[in-house]
Amino acid sequence: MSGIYLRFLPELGLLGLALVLFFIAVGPGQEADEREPADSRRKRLIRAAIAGDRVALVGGGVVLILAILAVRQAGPLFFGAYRVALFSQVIKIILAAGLFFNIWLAQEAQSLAPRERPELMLFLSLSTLGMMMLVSADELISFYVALEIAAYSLYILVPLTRGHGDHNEAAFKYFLYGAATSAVALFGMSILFGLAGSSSIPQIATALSANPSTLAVTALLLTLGGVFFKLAVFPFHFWAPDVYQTTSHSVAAFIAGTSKVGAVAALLRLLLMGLSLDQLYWLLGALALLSMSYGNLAALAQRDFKRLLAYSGVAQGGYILLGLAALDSAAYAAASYYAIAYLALMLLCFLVVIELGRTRHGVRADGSTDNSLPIDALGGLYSRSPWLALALMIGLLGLAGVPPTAGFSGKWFLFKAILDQGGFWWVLIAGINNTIAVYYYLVVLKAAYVTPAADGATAIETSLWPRALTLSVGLGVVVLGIAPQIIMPTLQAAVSAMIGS
Amino acid sequence: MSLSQWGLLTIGAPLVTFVLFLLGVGRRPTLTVALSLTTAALACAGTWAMAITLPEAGYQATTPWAATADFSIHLGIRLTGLSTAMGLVVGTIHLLVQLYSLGYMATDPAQARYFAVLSLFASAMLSVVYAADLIQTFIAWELVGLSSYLLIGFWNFKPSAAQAAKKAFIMTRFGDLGLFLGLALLMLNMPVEAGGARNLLIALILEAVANNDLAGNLFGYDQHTVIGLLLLCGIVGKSAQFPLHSWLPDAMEGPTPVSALLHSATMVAAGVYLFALLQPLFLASSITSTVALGIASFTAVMAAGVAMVNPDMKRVLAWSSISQLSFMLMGLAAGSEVAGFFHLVTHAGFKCLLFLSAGIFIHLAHSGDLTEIGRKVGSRSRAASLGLLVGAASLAGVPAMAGFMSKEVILAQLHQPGYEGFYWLALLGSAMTAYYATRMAAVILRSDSAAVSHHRDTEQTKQEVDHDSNHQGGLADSIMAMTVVGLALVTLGLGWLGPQLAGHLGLDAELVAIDWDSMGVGLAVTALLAGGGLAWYDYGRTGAYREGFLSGLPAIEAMLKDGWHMDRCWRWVSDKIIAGLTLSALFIDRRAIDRSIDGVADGARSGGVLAASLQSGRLQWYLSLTLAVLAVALILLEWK
Repeated sequence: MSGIYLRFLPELGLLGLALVLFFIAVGPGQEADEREPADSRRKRLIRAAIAGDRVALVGGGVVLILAILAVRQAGPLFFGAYRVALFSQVIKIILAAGLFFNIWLAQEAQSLAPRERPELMLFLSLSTLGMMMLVSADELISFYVALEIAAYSLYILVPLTRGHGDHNEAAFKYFLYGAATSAVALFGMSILFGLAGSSSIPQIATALSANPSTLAVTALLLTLGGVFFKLAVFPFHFWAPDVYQTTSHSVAAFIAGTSKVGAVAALLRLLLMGLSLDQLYWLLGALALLSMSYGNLAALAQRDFKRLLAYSGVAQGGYILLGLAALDSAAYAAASYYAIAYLALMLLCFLVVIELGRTRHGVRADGSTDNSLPIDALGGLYSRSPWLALALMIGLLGLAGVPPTAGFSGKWFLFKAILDQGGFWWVLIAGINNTIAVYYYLVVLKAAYVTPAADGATAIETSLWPRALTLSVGLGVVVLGIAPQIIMPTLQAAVSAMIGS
Repeated sequence: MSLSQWGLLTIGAPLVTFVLFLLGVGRRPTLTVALSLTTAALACAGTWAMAITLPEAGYQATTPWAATADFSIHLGIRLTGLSTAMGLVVGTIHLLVQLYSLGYMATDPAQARYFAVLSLFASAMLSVVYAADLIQTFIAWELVGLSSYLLIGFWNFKPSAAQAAKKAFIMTRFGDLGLFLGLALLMLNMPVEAGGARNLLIALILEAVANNDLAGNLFGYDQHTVIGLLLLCGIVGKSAQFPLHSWLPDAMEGPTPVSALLHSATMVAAGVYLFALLQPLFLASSITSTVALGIASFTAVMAAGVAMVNPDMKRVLAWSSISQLSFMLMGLAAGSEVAGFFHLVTHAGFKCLLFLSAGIFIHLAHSGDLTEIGRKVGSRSRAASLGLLVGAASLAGVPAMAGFMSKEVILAQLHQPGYEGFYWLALLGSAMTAYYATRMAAVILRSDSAAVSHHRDTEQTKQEVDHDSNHQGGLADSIMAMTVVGLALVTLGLGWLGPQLAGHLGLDAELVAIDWDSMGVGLAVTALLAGGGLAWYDYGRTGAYREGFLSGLPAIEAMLKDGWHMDRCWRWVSDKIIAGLTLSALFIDRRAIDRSIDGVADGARSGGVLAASLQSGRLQWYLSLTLAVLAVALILLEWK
């Protein structure tokens, strides 16, 4: 195989998987036939759905392997519109792993009709493909197209859930909000293009550093806004709580985890390619502090676990943004480490959400789907399923930054890198924020471990799969927490290679 | 396998048992027990492999774990003669105790938890032993403390056990506070390594002491003194020396095999081991070594005094452990490189033997009271009697027995100019040891010799015993008996391994040779005869009154039985001084801190409500807000 294909290997694999899923989603099994009895049609659809689930799982695993195989590739593609380097390849592995685990979690998703399950898998793959392209795009146009591929798949996924209900409202707001921020980003890009006379990001970077005007900073901030929307940091987060709460658990898991890693990576790459000016330092820092303070405070007031995770995500995005604001390679590496840890912790939390969702009668009186999950519903989780309680404990303690989880070591790297840059006050505010955050994480843990189960709550039978997922991801979180040097040097190398080029 | 792999296996295998227990294997007791025994055997094999294949120059393998610009922490193993010998003791006794526990805990419903925590202890203790970095030592040291807490309070339905566990945990924590401060001070004063970072690798500390790099003034004293005294706090707490000793007798609330493993043979010896490890640092300051010697010799006599009158078998053994640990510390603090450690090894053997025998006695008698055991069991359990005889003879210091051989080396070390006071205290302690050891053996084994005896009970007692042994089940009993007999045989030979041990430590075998013609041996034998003879007169001979000579001095006897009123002192300290501090702290807490925290919390809560209220549900509002924030940011940018 020639070098070009090797460089594009993970994306090609993902594209192939999406094609296969596409045929399952619209294929011969799906068409309606008036003469066929409803019962046999239902069985046929379920068969197709299960086939789609399994194909996606195997395909996700293959893509993960392909991404690992392609990690040492480097070089430009497509006439310089696309660039493959260690940083992009490492992020692709993380994204592929995130997709794989998301597919794993979404196996036989209960909140979706069987007909829609192949579509869920299809758009999960497509969205990941968009993110993979996002971290390799070297051109404003390819960057924007990749951003929209990632976003549009999600616009379709969010309303994809049984019956009708408020998720449609949330999905529509999500779409409109996304379209508006896209417009803002495009506006910023057009100014960048006007300033540099080129749409190639490296050339824009050279032009900007030669002439760092206020207009350039404005344009940059507007462009980054398009990505802030995906990362859901304040004030671009308004869609998040409603979407998290009302969309199906599997989609929420993807938006909360993998999608955010993609956003962080895209931001990082823009900064690493030199698209950064010193004025960004305090702009990003201010946004980060606002985001974490706002997210943590708002999370305090939540009664719904998924909404709480959404606001906690706003705050966690703030920590990551703080690392980016330090404009320093150690802080960049720490931020990517933290994003990876965050992905793993989100997987654990949403594992609990999804497994718990199976046992709840998620249908309202009017036939619409209820995808919310009140914190009270976690009561007595420990006695109902020790496995899920364990997953929840590792996940929440990790988010709270308690050792020996990767959440702790990630915060440690992050805060240390910022301190080394002289950001004492930033770290102080972040520390205070973390203290507030511990409270609401512990409230959830208290519900799971201390509060007795509600009357009539039965034991939750967890099958082998969620147990295996708890074990593998939980163990990964703890091992990374104790021995972060397993991946930290790779991340540092990837980041410095980007700065050097 | 390479040494580092063996090290990983030795420390890691028992930990695996504990982790699997937590992950749900604990619901299957048989599986947990099987796992626990397997990993114990693996760890034991590892300790032997490392001791046998240890290269002449020692071995060290570390990996950096956490590093900042100023200091770095390493995880790893450091194999020297000392650490491999100590590891051998820990690994072997741990395996023996696990085997014994198969019988002892056979009917306990929480068996799985017991074995799992025992495994956690083994892993942590071996990590203390082999650690290359003092921070690793400290982490494992605290884990050892945790497992001690969990095991003392194993029968947590008993309030006394829960109380004892808490006491042990808090009292040792006092000492650990000093230890931690000492480590921090040591870290700050270590020479800077290449790369600009300091660390606490033991090898480097010893090198720094040897090069006199630590010399300097701190609070008007030599740095060695300040650091050494702080580290000594931790040792005093862990090894239960005065004044932090009173947790150890209470720790006997735990199951007897736990007392054998943790609270006599290995865990409490960790303090002594740490002293041996850093001996040059302690000896570098005459103040530190004299303080250590003073504390140890005082504790030796004090604890032996309590052991002379205590009616409870396990508590006698516990006070005896305190006293014997003091002997070890005396040997080390007096400057001998092998004496104290040799005694640690032999003591681990014979005290473990005594405890395991005590376990059988207590199981049969359903009581820990010496007289009760003598009345109900006496010499009818042959294995336990053998264990008791060998152990007690060794403890008392009968020539040629293990305890005599190693204690003689300590006494010889002290028997030189400058140490006269300590030497006579040690001899006094030896005589007292002989007294309580003989008393214990005589009360149990010569119960039918008593003048005012309980003859009429004998027939009934016999039935009780028979009933019990039927009830216990043959297999459990024979496992316990076999372990005890095996350990008894090992203990008999242990005293003659001194030259091998010295050789393993890289020292001259002459250091442990005993000069049989010397006055020292004569004095030691005199002490033995005086103490043992007196006890025999009081308890052993036919027609003895079975009351100690101290019963003639009720005031002293009462004081000793109460453990020198030490617990009362501590209670006074905690009631008067600490409670006073607490009250004033409480006042500040209620008035100042609580109010401000409440204020902050209320603020945060209302801030949360306010923040959440931004979420109006109206898209136009969201978008305007987003753009407004962006606009404000850009205006600020321009204005700056």
